[in-house]
Amino acid sequence: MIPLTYYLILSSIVFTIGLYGIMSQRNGVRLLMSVELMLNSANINLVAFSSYNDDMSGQVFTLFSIALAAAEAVIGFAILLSIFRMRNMINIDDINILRW
Amino acid sequence: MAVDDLAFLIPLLPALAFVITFFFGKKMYSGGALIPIGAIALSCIISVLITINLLNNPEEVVHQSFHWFAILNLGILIDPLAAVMLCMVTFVSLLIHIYAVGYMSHDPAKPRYFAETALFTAAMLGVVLSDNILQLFICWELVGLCSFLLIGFWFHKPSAAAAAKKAFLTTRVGDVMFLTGIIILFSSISQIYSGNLPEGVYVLQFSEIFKLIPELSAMHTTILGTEVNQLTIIALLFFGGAVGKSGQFPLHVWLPDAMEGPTTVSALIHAATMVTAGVYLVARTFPMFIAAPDALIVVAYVGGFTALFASTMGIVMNDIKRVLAFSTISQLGYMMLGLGMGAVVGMEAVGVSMFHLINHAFFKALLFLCAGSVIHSVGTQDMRQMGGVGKVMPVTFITMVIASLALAGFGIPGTQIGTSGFFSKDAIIETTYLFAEHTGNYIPYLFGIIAALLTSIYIFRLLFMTFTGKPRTDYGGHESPGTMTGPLSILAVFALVFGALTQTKFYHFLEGTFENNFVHVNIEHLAELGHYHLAHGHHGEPLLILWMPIIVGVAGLLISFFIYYLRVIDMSTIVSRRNPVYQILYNRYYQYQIFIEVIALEITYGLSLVGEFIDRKIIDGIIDAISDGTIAIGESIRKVQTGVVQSYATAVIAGVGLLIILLKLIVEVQL
Amino acid sequence: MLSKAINGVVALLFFAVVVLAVVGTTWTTVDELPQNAADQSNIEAIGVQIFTQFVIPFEVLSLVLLGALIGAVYIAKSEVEK
Repeated sequence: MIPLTYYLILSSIVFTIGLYGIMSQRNGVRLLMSVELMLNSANINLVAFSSYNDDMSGQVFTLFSIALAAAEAVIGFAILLSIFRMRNMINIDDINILRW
Repeated sequence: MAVDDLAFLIPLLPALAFVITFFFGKKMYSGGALIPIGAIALSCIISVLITINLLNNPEEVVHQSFHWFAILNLGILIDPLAAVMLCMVTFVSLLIHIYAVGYMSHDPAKPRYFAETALFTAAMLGVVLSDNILQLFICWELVGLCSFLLIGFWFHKPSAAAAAKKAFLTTRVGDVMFLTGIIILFSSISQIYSGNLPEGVYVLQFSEIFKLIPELSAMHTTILGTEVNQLTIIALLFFGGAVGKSGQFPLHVWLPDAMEGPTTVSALIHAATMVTAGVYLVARTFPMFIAAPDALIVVAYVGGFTALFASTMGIVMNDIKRVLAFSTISQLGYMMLGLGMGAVVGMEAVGVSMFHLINHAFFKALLFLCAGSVIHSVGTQDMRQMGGVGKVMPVTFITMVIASLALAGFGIPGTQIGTSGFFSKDAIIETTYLFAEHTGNYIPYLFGIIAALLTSIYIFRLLFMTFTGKPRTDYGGHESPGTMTGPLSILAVFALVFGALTQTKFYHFLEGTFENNFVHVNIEHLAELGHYHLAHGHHGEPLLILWMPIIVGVAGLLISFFIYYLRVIDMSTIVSRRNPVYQILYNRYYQYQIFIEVIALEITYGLSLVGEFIDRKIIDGIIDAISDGTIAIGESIRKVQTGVVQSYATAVIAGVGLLIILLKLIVEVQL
Repeated sequence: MLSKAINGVVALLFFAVVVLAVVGTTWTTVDELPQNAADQSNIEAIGVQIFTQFVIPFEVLSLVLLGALIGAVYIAKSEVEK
């Protein structure tokens, strides 16, 4: 039997990759991808704990969470698309009209 | 329930009236005047009842006290001294409030006026009722505040605002001295107890202070190489406070300017009640003064000089209220002079002085209210524009004559016939004569008698210039309404008969001030500590001395009569710019110039320049360096705030990670 | 480049902390997996749960998705078409 810890380490690896992406990337699409990674690392955790504790609700919640991630991604990409239409780029460092 | 238990209500009722009138007065009748009037009337009734109790039972003073904090308490003490002051303050204040309903009827800011006068009355009652020196000081300051507010009542007039500021700052000089005195007193007391103040004993209560007088008078301080008695320092600092509040030389400059307020305020504050606070303070701490070498002599000289000095200026003033203001200063000088005579007559000095204080309150309030009545009707304060007012304002005229006679001290010596001013002022002059006989020092007596002559001249000058002759301008005056003439008549009755009815009883009553169930001091013994030699059995003044005050009084009346009524001398030759004496007097001895140009411009301004240099170059330099450094650091650190959320996220994650590691390390070390 | 290096270090730091926490914790789990050897599929159980216990969140979620869909269309719609 695979120990629970392996799943958790996998999840933290995925999360760290997402984190690194969030910290270093300037491209909007890549940022959204990183966010998805972090979200899904949480899903891995949920599923792992769910099956290792014999409780189905964790897996149900994962489904919900995936659906919400889809909604979030839809909105995010729509915004990026709209920005791209206006400015012809998606580098978030240059999107600063709401800053200061 | 005994009426004594209600004593705490005396100052509380006017204070409450202040709150109500101030916040809700606008919608009430006459700006809410009825509430302070009612409150003060109640206070007056309680005071009078307590005083009657006390008269029957002089040993049983009213004393209520409760713990405040540490070794301080809040308390109420009604001994004979406080009782007479209480009755006077509440009664005069009540009459002036009633009068003000008429006088202030055209003023839009009536709620503020009545609220402030009510607060003032409460503060003054607080001064009178305090059983410890600190509480007295607090109320003392409150009185000063009210004075500031009321002098500057018409604050839109620049002169009124300036006068208020002047009064506040001048009395502040005295107040600082008073506070310094309290601080030195407190530290001396704690020295006597070697730093271990006893539990449960309120050391600033008058009874405790008086108990420690022998120890205090044994202490000495060295100032500039001379050894000075500690008690003398404290007493003189207290007297400094009294000088400021009571307008004695050289801090009297604020009082004439204080006439910028409404006349009722002048009558209430600058004639009857507030300025007497200084005299009251000296009387209240009289055991300290009499046990302090030289203190009473200083009091006597300052008082006597002020009495003379102020009356000379009163002669040449043309503003009716200013004449009265200088008259007030002069009469307060008499009171101080009377207190200073305690050096010879002991406790009787308090009786004489307080007696004059009470009588003065009646007739000076009356004088001011009469003047207010005239001003209200004529519309000017300049006596040169009046004349013949007596014909259109008969009630005012008669009451004014009574008040003037009382101020000049008319009466027949050796009998019980005379105005109230006669009994009290002559008593003071007689004690100064006694002092002269006893010590061979005639200066206080000369101060007193010359001031009496000048007093008579200036008050009859005022009377003749204002009320007799033909109108010099077309003012179209009319008699004042009943709310104004009513108080005038009542005060006139008091000014006329109060002295004759109460004189001997009054002295006897006040002798119990420091010998009762609250304090018990032996004045004779204390006088020995202060190296004063009290005289005993002194009823052998020559007849001339007895008659002297009335002779100079009549002389003054005649001088004024000839000059200002019959006009046998052409005043224009005297009153001219070329006459140096007139110039000096009219310019009030150039005090203004001295204060402004010498003290203010030369000394204070010079010091200010030095201060400014230190402030700008040194202190500001340090401050600027600090602020520049802060700005520079801020400028450099500012760049951290990129506004890029991602770098913030990096920082947060790094912080959290390090924090967890740190926490882990610490926890493991502890385990 | 420097900022990327810093980011990498921070990410590794975070990773180390999390992994240490995961490894250092004793997790309570069931002893044997799968619990029910006869029925290995969990699809049915999830389906039953969604349509019984979690039916209301499920319906709400459908509304959220619908809202997101409409919002996305509105935001991303080309302005030129107006």
